[in-house]
Amino acid sequence: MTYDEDLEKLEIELLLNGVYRQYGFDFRDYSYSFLCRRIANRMQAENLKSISGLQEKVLHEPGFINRFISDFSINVTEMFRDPEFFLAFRERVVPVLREYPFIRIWHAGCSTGEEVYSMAILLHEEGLYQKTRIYATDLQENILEKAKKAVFALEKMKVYTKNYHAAGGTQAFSEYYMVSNDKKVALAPYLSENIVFAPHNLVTDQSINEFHVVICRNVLIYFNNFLQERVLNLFHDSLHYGGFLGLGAKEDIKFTAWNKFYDRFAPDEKIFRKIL
Amino acid sequence: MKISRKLYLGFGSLLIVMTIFMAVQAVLLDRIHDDTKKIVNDRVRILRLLNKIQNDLNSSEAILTELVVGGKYNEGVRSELDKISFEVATTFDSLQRLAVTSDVEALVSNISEVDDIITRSRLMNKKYVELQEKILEQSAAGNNAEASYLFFHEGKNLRMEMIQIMAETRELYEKRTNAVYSSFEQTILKSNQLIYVTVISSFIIGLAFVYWFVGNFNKSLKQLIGALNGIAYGQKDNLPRLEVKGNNEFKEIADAVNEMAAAIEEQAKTEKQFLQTMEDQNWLNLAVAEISVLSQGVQNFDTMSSLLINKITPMAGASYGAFYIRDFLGDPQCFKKYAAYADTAGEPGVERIKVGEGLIGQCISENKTIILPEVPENYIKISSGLGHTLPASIIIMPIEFEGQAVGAIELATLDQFTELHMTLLQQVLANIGIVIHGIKSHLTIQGLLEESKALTEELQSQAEELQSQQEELRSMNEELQEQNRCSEERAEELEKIKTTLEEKTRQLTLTSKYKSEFLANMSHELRTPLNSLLILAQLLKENPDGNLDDKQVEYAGAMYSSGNDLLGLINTILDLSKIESGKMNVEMGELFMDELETFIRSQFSAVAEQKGIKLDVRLDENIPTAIYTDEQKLKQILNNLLSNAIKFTEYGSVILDIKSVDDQTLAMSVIDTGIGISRDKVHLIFESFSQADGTTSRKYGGTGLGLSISKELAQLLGGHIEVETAEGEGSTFTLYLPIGDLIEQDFSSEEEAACGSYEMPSLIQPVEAKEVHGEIMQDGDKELLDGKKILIVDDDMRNVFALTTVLERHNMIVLFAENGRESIEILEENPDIDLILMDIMMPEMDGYETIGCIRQMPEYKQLPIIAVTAKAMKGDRQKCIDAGASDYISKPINIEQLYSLILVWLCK
Repeated sequence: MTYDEDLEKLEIELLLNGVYRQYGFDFRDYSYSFLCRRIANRMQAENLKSISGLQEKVLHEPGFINRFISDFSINVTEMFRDPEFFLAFRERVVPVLREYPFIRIWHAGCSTGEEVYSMAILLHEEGLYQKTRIYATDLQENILEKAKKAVFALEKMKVYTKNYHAAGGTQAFSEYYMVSNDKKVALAPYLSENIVFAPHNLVTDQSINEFHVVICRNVLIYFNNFLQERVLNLFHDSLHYGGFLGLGAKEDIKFTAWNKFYDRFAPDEKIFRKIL
Repeated sequence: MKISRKLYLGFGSLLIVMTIFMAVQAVLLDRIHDDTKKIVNDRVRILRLLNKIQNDLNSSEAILTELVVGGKYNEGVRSELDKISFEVATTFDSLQRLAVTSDVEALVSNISEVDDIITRSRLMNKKYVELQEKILEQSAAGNNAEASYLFFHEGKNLRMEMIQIMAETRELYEKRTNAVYSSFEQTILKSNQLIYVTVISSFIIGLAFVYWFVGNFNKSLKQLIGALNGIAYGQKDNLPRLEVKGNNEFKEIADAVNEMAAAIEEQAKTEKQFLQTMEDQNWLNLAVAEISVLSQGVQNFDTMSSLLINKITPMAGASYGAFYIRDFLGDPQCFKKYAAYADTAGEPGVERIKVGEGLIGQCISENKTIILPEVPENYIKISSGLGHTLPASIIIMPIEFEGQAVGAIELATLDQFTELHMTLLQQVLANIGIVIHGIKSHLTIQGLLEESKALTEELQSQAEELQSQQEELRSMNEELQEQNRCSEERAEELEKIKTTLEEKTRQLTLTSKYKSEFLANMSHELRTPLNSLLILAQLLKENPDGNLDDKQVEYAGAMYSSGNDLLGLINTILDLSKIESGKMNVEMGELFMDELETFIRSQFSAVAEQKGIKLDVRLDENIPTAIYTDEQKLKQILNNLLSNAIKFTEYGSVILDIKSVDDQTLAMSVIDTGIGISRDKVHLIFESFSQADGTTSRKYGGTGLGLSISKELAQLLGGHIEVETAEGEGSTFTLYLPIGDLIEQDFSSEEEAACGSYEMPSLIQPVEAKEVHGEIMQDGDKELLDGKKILIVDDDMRNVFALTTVLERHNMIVLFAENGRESIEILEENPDIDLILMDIMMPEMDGYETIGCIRQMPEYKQLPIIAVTAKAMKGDRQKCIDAGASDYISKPINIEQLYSLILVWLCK
């Protein structure tokens, strides 16, 4: 490691420590390369020479912290993203859920809510939505506000429609939305009925309930091993015995300490079932 | 003597004796047989000769007799008798010859006797022939008596003698034959005797031989059996040997048995050795297998090494052991002690050893086993609770994999390591080498897998970041484009406005005077007194004190209402700007024509009467009883027109004439006989704030706003106003108004669009989306739909009509096809179609097939096709998607959903 890299590491450490101590957001265990890239991005955008400069802005410029935080929250999502996940969920997990009198689902890192509403549509079509409550959480409150509105861009609906079909949708997808003004579509309001949006920080917060399903897709990829283990621990504590854990297409519990606690229920779609 | 030889000798001699006897007997019998045959033959021949002589004699006697008796001599008798005599003589010759040569005669020694008798017979015969001659001579001489005498006397004696001698001869022969027979009997008796001798002697000799032989054989056999019985069953060593004297087969057997016994003993010895080896090998294999099994499935060095050392050490008979493995994870030049057996804290075994360091290091670097048979003092001590002692022997062995040392094991024993232990260690260590390599590979692979997982995650996170950045860039780009477009539009608009402005500057300067005048009048100060006037007029009209007469009250009412009109006018003027910007509300409703007439009359009759002009309302018979329009606006227009007419008419009449132009349009003409408008001013009257003549205001008053408002309102209601006039000849203002239940004009302002209530054909679900419908007509969305070409494929014309009506409302160009085939033709003629609405249930070629056909054409791969399905099974929808439809919508179609869908699929 060269001197520069050492210095960079030190500065990043100081910056993140500062953010944590001052604002309570803990990014210290995010994947290091990810941190480097995001910080470099922000520096470029703000035309800053050093990380210390960024630190000054973060600590002293009011409101800057929000921009800083949003840098670490990558809100890439789509409705019925990875349709095979939703198809597997519909075909294999739903029959199990049907047996429960009440279903609690935690969607951690829900971002702008597309996947949460997808789940709502899926459960609605399976006749389970009335007895379901989905807790959708994310780190950023402004993102949650966006998610609550259930309004999405018109041009994305084509892709969403295709995903919906591939995910085994049983109705016409157009039944769930209506074009509102300015090239946006609004989802049917009843889809939001049983969704609770709440801020939750996977890094610092504790379990919020016991759930039948925990979905956390494409969040772990931003964390380092230590944090991944911690978050998996949190999910494990939050899962009902026999409950399901759904991860992103590139995430896995293999090679973690939690592997043995789960049955590889639908390994290709990354759905695992808690067995211990 | 050998048994075979004995047998040959015994049976051979017996056979020889028997053969000799038999041969002798055969010769004897043969000779007897020959002699008998000869004798019988001789006898027969002699007897035959004798008989012949007898017969010849008899026949000669008969001839003589006849001659003698008959006495007839002739020469024939003579010759005949001579012949017989000759025959007899010949026969005697043969007889004599036979007698001499006959075998019997040879056997019977005295021939003379036969010879004698034959000679005598011949003599007799000779005498008889002489006699015979005499007889013949006598007879020939005719001397029969003599002849008969001779014959009967002499001849008779002679014949008797001859017969006598014949009998004697026959007798002699019989006698001699019998003598020969008796000699034969003698011989046969001898022969019989010889047979008896043969049989008896053979029997005796055979019996003697068998006795001797069997006795001899039994003795040897018993000896052999006895010896063989002496061997115990299963006995393999110390077998007894057989001792047989002599030199016969039994001796050979005994020798063979002895040899066999020796071989068995030898074999037993080899077998024992072999078994021992096998047992060792088994133990070895078992141990190796056990150790192999032990290391199966182990995936780390710690577990493996401790498992193995705990097993190997006791197996190799050692009391101390240490297990070293190359430190793959750290410094590969070092070997780390992973496990030990009977390890005492800190004492035996160094934790880390470098290659070449110490004996283990040496062993590793050379890849060779090192054995220390003598352990020096102060070396490691094997200790137990009771004490400790030095090991007797130490062995250090490398663990190799593909020729490279991957580990080492050191064992110490109180005894010496045997060959077997060494072999065990060698074999086990070879396996362990593989196991260590396996674990190492496993660890490497696991490391790589983890790394790859991390990399995958990293890639995903980068991909997402990129995607989000791209998203940001895209939205920024769009924003920029939007801004760009806006500014361009604005520039264009500005340009337009600029030209318009320039064009209108002239008019503006002309009208601005009136405008400013008007605006001055419309000041707050004007409205305040108007308000107080209104209140006061109302008070008067109510006549609270009852001191006003009816006429006065009516006037007060007129004051009030006119004031109200004035206020309304002011408000209308304020509304004018709204109209111009298209923000006037139109509230459509039913208006009954008779109501309208009543209203007109009540409104204007008083004024007309006052001015002394005639007011007439004519309703044509053909007009509908009610029309659908905004009552308020219409009344406002008529109000304007009528008040203008009355205002500008000094005498004559003002007529409101209402009649139908056609089914759709109503013409309302206000005809007056007033001052009229000059031709060059006509275009001005509809401009705001203007009257035909600037001076008219002074004479007639008014703001000059009425007509322009009326014109705007008429347009708002879908109609227009026309004017026919000539100066001084009155004017006719005609309002053309649509009757229509449905307003078909394209409303450019949003409120107007919202106020239309459509009749939905059965295909289309009534929408309770009044506000949403308004919302979708936002500029951006409107642009998306504007001018888009939609192809509707449906065999039901009602559906086509309903959809067309709905879509054309948004300026979409609608084409339709009645079936799949037609739709493809239309598509080929109109390649610029933006979207297809495809009914699935159609005759001839159904929707699935049609969609399939369209998708076959490469240029329409991406063309949005929305399938219209009956509200049916999920399978149908899947079929649509499979057939290539972009999306589907169910009947009855919800307009909102349809708009949303079309927007989604038209959105670029």
